[in-house]
Amino acid sequence: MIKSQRLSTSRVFTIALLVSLLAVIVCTASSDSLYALFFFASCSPGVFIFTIIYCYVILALEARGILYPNVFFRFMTPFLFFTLLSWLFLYPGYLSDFQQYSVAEYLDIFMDFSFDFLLPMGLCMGLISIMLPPVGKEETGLPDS
Amino acid sequence: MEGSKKRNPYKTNIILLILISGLFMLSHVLFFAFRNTIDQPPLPGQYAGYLPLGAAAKSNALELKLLVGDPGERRKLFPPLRDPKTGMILLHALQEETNSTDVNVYYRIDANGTLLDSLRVEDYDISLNREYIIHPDYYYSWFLDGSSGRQEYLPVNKDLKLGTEALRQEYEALYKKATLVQFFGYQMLWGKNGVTEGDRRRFYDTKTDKVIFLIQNKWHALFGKDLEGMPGGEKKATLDSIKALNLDRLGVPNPYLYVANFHKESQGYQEWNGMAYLNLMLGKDTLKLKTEMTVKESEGEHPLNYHHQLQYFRDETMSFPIIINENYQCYILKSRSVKKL
Repeated sequence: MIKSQRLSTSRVFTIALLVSLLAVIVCTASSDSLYALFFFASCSPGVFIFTIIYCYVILALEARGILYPNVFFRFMTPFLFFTLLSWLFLYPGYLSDFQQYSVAEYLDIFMDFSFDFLLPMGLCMGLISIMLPPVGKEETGLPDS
Repeated sequence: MEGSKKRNPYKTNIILLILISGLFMLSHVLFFAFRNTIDQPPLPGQYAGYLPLGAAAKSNALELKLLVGDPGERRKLFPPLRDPKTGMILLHALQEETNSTDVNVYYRIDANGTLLDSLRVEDYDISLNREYIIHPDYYYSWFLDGSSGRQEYLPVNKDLKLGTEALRQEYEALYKKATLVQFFGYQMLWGKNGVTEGDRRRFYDTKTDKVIFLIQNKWHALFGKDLEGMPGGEKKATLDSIKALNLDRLGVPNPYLYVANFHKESQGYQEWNGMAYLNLMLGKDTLKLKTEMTVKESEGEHPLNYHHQLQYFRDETMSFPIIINENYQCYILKSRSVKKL
């Protein structure tokens, strides 16, 4: 069985700090407004706290055997999950009624959405998944079934 | 923890990934392949010939004429006023409000709906008293006679030589004869920046008020201390305002102006944006117009609640209605057959 990963406090704080910095930089760069910096900077304490919670939840899920402790799965599973959630909540702002979109137009709209939300979210999650403690080979003994 | 012992995390994670991406693909199937194919029912053919609300809109019998307003201009247009005797209409547009001055533009429209001329007044403290455009230092009788020059008040007691009792008698004599009276307190008259030092010393320091009287189409100005406390008070009048049609229920058919059809185009937050097809009527003739509008669907008796800034003014005695749109452009609706005869 997989041993639950130990996450040192200094490590989780480093991750949270880097992620909140990255979020501010990426969000500001992709926005046109001058005030964006102030807005996203004021959000960064929230990002900081959310990141700490997120790291522990990921590790807890791995300990329960729901997530496979690997950089790819650590990134892909929550990323897809949050993509689905944000798309379901935010699509009314992107898709208008009675527009009869062609495939290309629909893809364009989805790309807009991706650049607005998925890109910053994905970069932050990628950073977290890389920086979480790697799993030692001797600890990842697969169950015998 | 016994269950987790049997669980293969690799397999579980793969299944989870497939499940989430499956749901994600399902959402696209729903939005693109299903929801995207739903279309608004086509516009009935009878609405195809509706013209955009603007100066070019005309039918065989009616036409819309632009009186005042360029589309790019920022301005505010006050409701039109009408002289009951001559039928002339006065329009007041506040074109600009800056720190140094207000730009007021007045328009004169005759009883047949033709724009006669306009007057530009750039100053503070402009008010209207019946037909007169009043400033504390000068006035315009332009609406009556068309003269665009400033007119001076005929001064009474400007040298401030009358004593208290004589001033009171003078005031009462003028007040009896006057049809209109307006007061200006000394603080607003001489306490401003533009007043010369001599005037300030002479009038502000002696607390000299000013009262203007309209006597036989001439305005007289009486100067004196404590005039604001004199008996009688102001006599101010306004020209008749023109009755405005209540356009809150634009969806209900009436013989003036209503929305015949609304074509939804996109959904906003709790509302629909789209094109409204208007029937604008004069007598038995109808002018068919279209304009962009927003609609809120609400419960109750009148299900459609139109958001718009159209204004419609018409008195029973007027031969034409005045229509003001959301950009403060002023139109009149005229019958074309009358012009040919």
